Amino acid sequence: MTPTTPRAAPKRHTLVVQLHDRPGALYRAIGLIRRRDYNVSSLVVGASERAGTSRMVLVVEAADVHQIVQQLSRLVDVLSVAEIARNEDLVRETALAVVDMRDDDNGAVYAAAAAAGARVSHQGHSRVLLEMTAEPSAVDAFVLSMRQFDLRQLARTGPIVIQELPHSSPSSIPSLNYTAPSAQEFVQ
Amino acid sequence: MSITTGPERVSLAVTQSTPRDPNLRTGAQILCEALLRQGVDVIFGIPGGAIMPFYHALPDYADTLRHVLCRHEQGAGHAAEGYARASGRVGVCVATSGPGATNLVTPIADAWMDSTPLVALTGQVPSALLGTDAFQETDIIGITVPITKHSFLVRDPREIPRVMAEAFHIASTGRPGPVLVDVTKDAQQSSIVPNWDVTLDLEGYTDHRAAEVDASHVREAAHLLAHAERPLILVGNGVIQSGAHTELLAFAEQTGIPVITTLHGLGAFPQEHPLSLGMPGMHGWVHVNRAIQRCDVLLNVGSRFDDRVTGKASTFAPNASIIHVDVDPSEIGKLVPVAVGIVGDAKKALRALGEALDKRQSAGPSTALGMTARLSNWIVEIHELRERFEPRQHYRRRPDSETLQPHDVCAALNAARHARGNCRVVTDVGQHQMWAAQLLDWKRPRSHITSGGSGTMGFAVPAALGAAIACPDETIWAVVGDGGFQMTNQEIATMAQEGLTNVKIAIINNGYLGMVRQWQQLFEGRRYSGTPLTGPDFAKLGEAYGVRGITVETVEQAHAAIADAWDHPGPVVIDFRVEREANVFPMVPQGKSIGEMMVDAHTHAAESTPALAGAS
Repeated sequence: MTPTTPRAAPKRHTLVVQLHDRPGALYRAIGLIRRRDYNVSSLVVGASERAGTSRMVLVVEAADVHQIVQQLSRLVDVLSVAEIARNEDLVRETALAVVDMRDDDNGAVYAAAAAAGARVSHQGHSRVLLEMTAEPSAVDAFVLSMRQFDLRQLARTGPIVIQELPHSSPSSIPSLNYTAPSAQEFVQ
Repeated sequence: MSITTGPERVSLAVTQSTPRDPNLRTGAQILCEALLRQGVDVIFGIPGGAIMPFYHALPDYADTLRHVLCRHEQGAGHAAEGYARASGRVGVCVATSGPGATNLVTPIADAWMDSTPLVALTGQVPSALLGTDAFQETDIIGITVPITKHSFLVRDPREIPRVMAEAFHIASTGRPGPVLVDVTKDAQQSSIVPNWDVTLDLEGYTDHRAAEVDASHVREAAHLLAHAERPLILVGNGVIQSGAHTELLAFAEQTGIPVITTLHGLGAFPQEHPLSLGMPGMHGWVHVNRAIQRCDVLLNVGSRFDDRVTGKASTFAPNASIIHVDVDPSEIGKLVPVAVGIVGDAKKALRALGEALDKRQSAGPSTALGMTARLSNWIVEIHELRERFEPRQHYRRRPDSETLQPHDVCAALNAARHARGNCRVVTDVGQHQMWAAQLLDWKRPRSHITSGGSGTMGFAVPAALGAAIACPDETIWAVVGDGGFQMTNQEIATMAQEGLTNVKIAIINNGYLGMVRQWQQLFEGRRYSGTPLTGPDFAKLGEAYGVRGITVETVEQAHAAIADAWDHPGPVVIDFRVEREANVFPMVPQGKSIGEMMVDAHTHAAESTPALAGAS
């Protein structure tokens, strides 16, 4: 059967879901995504400010998430659902990268890491562990830059989000102009 | 060893001899008491290893909690659904772990699709064995996640009072649906003093039926309706679930807007009412589908734009601003774009809309003429359509055949219903379901019970059993095809064991899986793959179960058999041997616009292109 309407091209959407920290709650939420056959690009679940609840940040590739947001909201264990599209939300992601270095490129590795804003977490003779926490686009840039070297291992957390920022001086928060990268940008 | 263990045994014996707290209850007893506290008086189920403690407790509550032993868990689930749909109360089914629980999956899915309030209680292996592939262990919660409103795994009897209160609350409020309560065997066995003073811990759950409807949305909707030239009301299951039929009647009469009823909306509006148009969709009437394609404002109350109603959704009601009233916010805008969405209870929404239109009318002299007068052209237009198409679609028979037609059976049943009243009809899935929906007169809510969204063959016989128990003073007719009948007819044994007198089964026996055969005939060059079907002598089968069995081959016999069955104080199975290749018309081919209807058969000429009632 042909779909009733032509599907729009999938786009990256970042959803922040607060849910009860109970067995099965996560399973139900993720099951809804699976049912639609949406690809989950990243999923981070951890403690929230409120005991007994978790905050889940989910990045999915989908044409439209309106229906998913509605259906997630319908779950008994879900307390709130929001799609992140606003510039004022703080989005951060951490990447850990192990890079093997030769004598002739170790200077370049450190320079590239420093330029990307990563910090050296652990240093061996010919191997370095770099740690980068930043908005996802900066982490993308860091990863891209490390790929020109001998990148042995890479681990990324996926984004986490803070939605209610304090009204502090803007300078105290480096850069907040986060927009979710497109799927194409991301796989580069 | 024996020397060292001896004293321990003695001390154990001393502990056991201390007087028991009279308030101590096993988890199983607490489950029974929780059911009673929820007002449950009948449950449908089958015992097994992991649910045995519950069954051990049941006889102590037998005078207030009736247990109906079904023959298959699927039957128990559908019976609970039939009970719920007929009564408006929560249906309860019980099964053991593993295969018992998986046999409930089909009725749970059915209840999910048709928003039927259902609590499924399943036994689970002892908690120490969870996840170890223990005997009859199945992760039934995992299996049913996509088809339940919510589910609970209970490992501690202390949780039972709260869990059961939450389960019934979730199942019966908002948009109703199935809830699974999976209770480990040890939680059923261990004893505690239950604390019934529980508060529901459901912060993430909103009962949208309890809230007031948004006044600004109601005003917008009233504005659209007040200016409509060709408005229509489309009503579905939501009106019946909400009990909003009185409000619907008042609203339709106040505004003069014609009413169409989906399959699950049948009975929400009296069919003989001048404003009643009938059923839309794949096997709806031509004038109804045409009216939808022509209307400029469509007020949908409690129906979810299923593809069997809309046909190709992008071509549905192309000229209409759509107002959608639904208790589930995730339904609004799901399949068709809406001009106004009203989240909430159908009853409250219809009242609020009526009041808003009243206010408008009394406010300005320009609208004082009222809507009813303004709509007369529209009504005339629809009635002309109806007169043009109706004679071609009612009681259509092949002229060269003397064979009993399914339409004859429906006509005979309809005549008997008119004469006797006090009857509900439960249908299965397929051709007979559409004939019954089209050809019987539906007058009151909950008198038409069927498997709609899920289209579960095998639904009717057990659901009729449940409906018969819910409505002991009424006659329940199961109308079922010979295919669906053979899926769950074992529940006739349950009817016999329960001594039911008020359930009658009409098999529309055409020796085919008829609806599939019809599609094969019309769209696949009569390639009857997997559809020809034999069966036992159904009348004799009924007799083997200890109930009356009748075979019918003529129209005269049909009338007599229905009368006989009605008067007989026990279940009756009637085998109506009907024309084998009768088709359901009108019909919208799958994926087509509802503006394109096949109204005529020429069905015995498979090669011929069936006539289309115009393209939209």
